[in-house]
Amino acid sequence: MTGVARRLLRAVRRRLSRSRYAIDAARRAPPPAALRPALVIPVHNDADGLARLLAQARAMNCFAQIVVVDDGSTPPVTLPEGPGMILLRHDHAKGGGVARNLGLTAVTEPHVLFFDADDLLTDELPRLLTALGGAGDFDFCQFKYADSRVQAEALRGHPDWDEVFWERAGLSVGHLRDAPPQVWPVLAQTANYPWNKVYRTGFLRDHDIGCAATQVHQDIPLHWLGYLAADRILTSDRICAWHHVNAAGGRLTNRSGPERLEVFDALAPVMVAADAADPDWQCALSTFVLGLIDWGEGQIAPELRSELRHREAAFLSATVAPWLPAIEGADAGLAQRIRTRMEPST
Amino acid sequence: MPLRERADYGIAEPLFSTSNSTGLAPGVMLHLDPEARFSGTWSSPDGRLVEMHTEATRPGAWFGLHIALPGEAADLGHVRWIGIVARTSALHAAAIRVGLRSGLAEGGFQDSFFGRHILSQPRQSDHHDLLCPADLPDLPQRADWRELVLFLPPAAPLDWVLHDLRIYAL
Repeated sequence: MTGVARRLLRAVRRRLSRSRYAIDAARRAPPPAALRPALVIPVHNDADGLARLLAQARAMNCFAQIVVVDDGSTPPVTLPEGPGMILLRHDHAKGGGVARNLGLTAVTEPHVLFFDADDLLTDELPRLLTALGGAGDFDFCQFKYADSRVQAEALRGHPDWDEVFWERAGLSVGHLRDAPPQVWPVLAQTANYPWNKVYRTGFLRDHDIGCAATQVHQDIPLHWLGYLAADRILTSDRICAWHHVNAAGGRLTNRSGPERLEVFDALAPVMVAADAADPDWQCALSTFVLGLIDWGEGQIAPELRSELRHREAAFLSATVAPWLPAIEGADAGLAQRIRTRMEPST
Repeated sequence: MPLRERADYGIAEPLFSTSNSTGLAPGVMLHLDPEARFSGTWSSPDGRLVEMHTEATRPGAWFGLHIALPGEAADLGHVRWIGIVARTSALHAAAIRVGLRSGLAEGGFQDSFFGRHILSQPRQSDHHDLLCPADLPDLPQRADWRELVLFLPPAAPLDWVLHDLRIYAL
């Protein structure tokens, strides 16, 4: 690079990054204090992943409290000492949902972020926490995440099946936005991850919202009951989590045994809560359930597929059938699909 | 890398409230066709350059983000390539043409366009492109001033984020 080119590059960078400009009176106010939430991490036999995440979280210095729940690891997890570090333990593995719920009981901070030991934070999270510090009261903020499957396609962000709901809600861009309530049933159909939201701790406790005790799909109640109970939801297009998917790994996503049938247990409290909701919610939740069971059929062992479909039919008959007149009025095609699924082929 | 000294943590400012030009920072301007009428807001959140929303109440023929290049860019005699790298996203897909504008001694200017449009889409995406001055006989080797211009959609609503932009010369 020539000397001229170097100076040109430096000057452009200066102009773009450090330009001083008239600051109006509103901007002379001190910046808001960033949120310093608690970080709750369940872990089961993933000491390396936990160490990596803890090193990252401590270096970021944006968490007031880090609660690790060792869900029956062998050997047991140990933690580096430090202020705000808490280690809880189940002697025998009870699942990520029970571990998250236990971790939540130890949280003393006003906000909480759940994270998995095999995921990573990004440098966008501190920026989001700064913005949230000035956002006033909110129940939760859902942010975007990066997914290794998307990166493999030379793109950046989360998969199409999530992006489509952000687009439909008109919230694909914007570092911090108030999500209008009419789009909450749309956004609620995004993947039910626990680690793409900053929750207000009191909101979860006041509404008794937590994870299911099932072995899989335990995050469904946390996600949906949060949406159904919220008064104010924020969204951010900041990519604050890095989610690595290994198709051959031991993630819950890859399980194919009879535990997949527990999906209906995880859904049950959400269906009860949605009973009192308006048809938009019932349509959204029904669409989610149908899609989830279709996905589950692809995950579960072939010999269990018939059982899955029979249980689906019974579940829909017991929970969604009363909603059908309302769904019929809002989305006749969906109502027809539900009726078809209530009568499984033998 | 916000445009302003302090990240504005989300306070949006109006665009084109008094004229069809809005200064975002020294040497960084939005210019709109005088015949057009737009409303909108912009901000410069921490970690990104510009986040903007515009509505076209009267469409125009052009709408550009102009970034003045420093004096060293006046003479490109020793520059083999000029490159840009940009990360953008947009609520609705938008194609954005990028040009190097050279001010002429006799007045007026000469635009030299990069070969590829930036395609902004709901998911963040990266764009890079190069200009080779030696291959562009219309590009003045010396110019009184130069700007990088991002030509934004002049007739459609725009929700757009310029997360990052780097300009380099080799």
